[in-house]
Amino acid sequence: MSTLQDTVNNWFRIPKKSWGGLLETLFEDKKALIGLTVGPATLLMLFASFLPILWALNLSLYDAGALSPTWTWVGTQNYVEVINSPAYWDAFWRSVSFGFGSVAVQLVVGVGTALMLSREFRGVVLARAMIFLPYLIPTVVVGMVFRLMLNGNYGIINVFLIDIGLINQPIGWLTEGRIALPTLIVANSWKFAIFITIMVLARLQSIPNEFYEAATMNGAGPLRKFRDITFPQIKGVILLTLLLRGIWMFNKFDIIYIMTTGGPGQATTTLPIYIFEMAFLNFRLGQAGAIAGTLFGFLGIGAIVYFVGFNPAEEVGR
Amino acid sequence: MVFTDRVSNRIQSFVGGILPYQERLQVRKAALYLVVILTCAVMMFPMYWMLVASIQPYDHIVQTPTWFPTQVIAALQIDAYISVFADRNFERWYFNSVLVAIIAIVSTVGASTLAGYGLTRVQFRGRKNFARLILFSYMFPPILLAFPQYQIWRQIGLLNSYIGISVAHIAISLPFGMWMMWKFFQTVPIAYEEAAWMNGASQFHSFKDVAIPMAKPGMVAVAIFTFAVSWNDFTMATILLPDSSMQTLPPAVQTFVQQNYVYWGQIMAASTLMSIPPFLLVYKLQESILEGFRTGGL
Repeated sequence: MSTLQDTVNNWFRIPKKSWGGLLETLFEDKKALIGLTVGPATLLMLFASFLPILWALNLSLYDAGALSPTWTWVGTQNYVEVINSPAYWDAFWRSVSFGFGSVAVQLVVGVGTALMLSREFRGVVLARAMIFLPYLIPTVVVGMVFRLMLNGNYGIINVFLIDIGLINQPIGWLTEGRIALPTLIVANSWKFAIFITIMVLARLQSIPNEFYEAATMNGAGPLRKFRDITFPQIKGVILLTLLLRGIWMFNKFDIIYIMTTGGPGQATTTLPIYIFEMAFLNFRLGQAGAIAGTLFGFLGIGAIVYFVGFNPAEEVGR
Repeated sequence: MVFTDRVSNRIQSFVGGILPYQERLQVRKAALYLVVILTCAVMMFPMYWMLVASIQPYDHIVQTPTWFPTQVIAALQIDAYISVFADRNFERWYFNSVLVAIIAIVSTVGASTLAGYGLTRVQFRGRKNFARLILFSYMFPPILLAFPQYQIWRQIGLLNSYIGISVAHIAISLPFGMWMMWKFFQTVPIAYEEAAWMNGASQFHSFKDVAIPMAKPGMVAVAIFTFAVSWNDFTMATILLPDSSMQTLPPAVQTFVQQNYVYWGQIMAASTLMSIPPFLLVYKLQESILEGFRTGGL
């Protein structure tokens, strides 16, 4: 005899078991499974990244100060002002040189180190640990240590260069306008070249040894082996890194802010620093939003190149 | 004969001409070791200098830097270490950093494992565009996110909160983590799961007891990556945690730099203490790091 309780249970199909039972039921249903698996990530991304971006793009169309509560619609006026200001383009070109310079240095150092570490020798594990370490060391630590080492008065770099007779006068690495940006590029590369090293090394380790053995049998020298086996295998990873790293370095904020805060003068004020100054020092939120909007545009171009050039979804999608 | 071959044969025959085979190998090995040692020295020197500066009196740091801290060996100086704990809120900052990293790691690993499984095992429309969109956000620089996040967090009360800063870190680490878990689950053969289903296991059961254990190396790699993002983050923490007692370590260290006085000793002591967890991780888990990059390919 069916009771009222049974009827209700049937109606709502309440799983009688525990949470595990509920999950088991949900996993059988395709729609529920999609929601359960992709859902949390989607919600997190919407809230943490897409909503803020939309917010900034919306903000860029208003005249908004941090102190006045009302926003006034101004359309594209912020963009016009930003694009017509020489300071913006100065910052833009500094971003470009910082980005290109960093990627060039990191590529050479990173690939070289990876080739070295891909060999088998005693102590390779220790050497790898030592060389990987800078990648996990916080940027603020890197920035501070380099600030100390590059100090014009008591930095060890100057002491070293004077000792070996390369320079006579101490150099203010971070306080002289013309050399501050190149110095930043080098300090920055000390940490981030390791990213390229790790990526290339991971790729190198997956090249079958037979390739090299066959080449040796055929009498190929080391340079030939590099050109015909190693390079084609790591070319993809290098191109990918060039693009991704290029975008990241173009948009780099932390190490520049820590080491020079954009100075001396404006010598190292790149676009991200410019956004920070506009928003948190000048309190011109609309303008900051417009600069962020242009950065977003550059990213979009980068993304298109990335998806057309590499088609990453094709590679893994089934 | 290709040019590169000619060059390398020329070099080889030159070296071979002056040295017998056995010794040639030794020379090559010595050269390799020399390069390795030089590279390690360049990579480790800043770490060494940080340690040295952290155990020196202030006057010595800013007046007469010497390569070896000889006077320290005579009288060990740990004033800077004592000072960061006694004069500053260091243990609080450390606690904040650890807690924020834990929240970020648990959420990122959890969400990206689920999403990776869903993307591989469930066919649905728009999967590729979804993945593209997520990957696009992987390119966002922290400043582009932190500036609008500040405006939103302020209005909904997430400024100066553990959740607020963790969510900001998740925005950076989740796209990478998801992408990596997607790739990782594709290397786990579906046959294992099918075998479990044949034996009457449910999809949930096979996910929990078959897929998850096999995806563990990927999860470890995502966890390390998330740790690196969170432990590193300066930009978002500076903007989203204006309150001193809520700060994580990176912006807190910046506060040792003042208008006309830089507390080098304390900065270097704090930096050393901050470098310990990454150091342990790198030494213990370098294989997982490489594995992660191998499958992630990003």
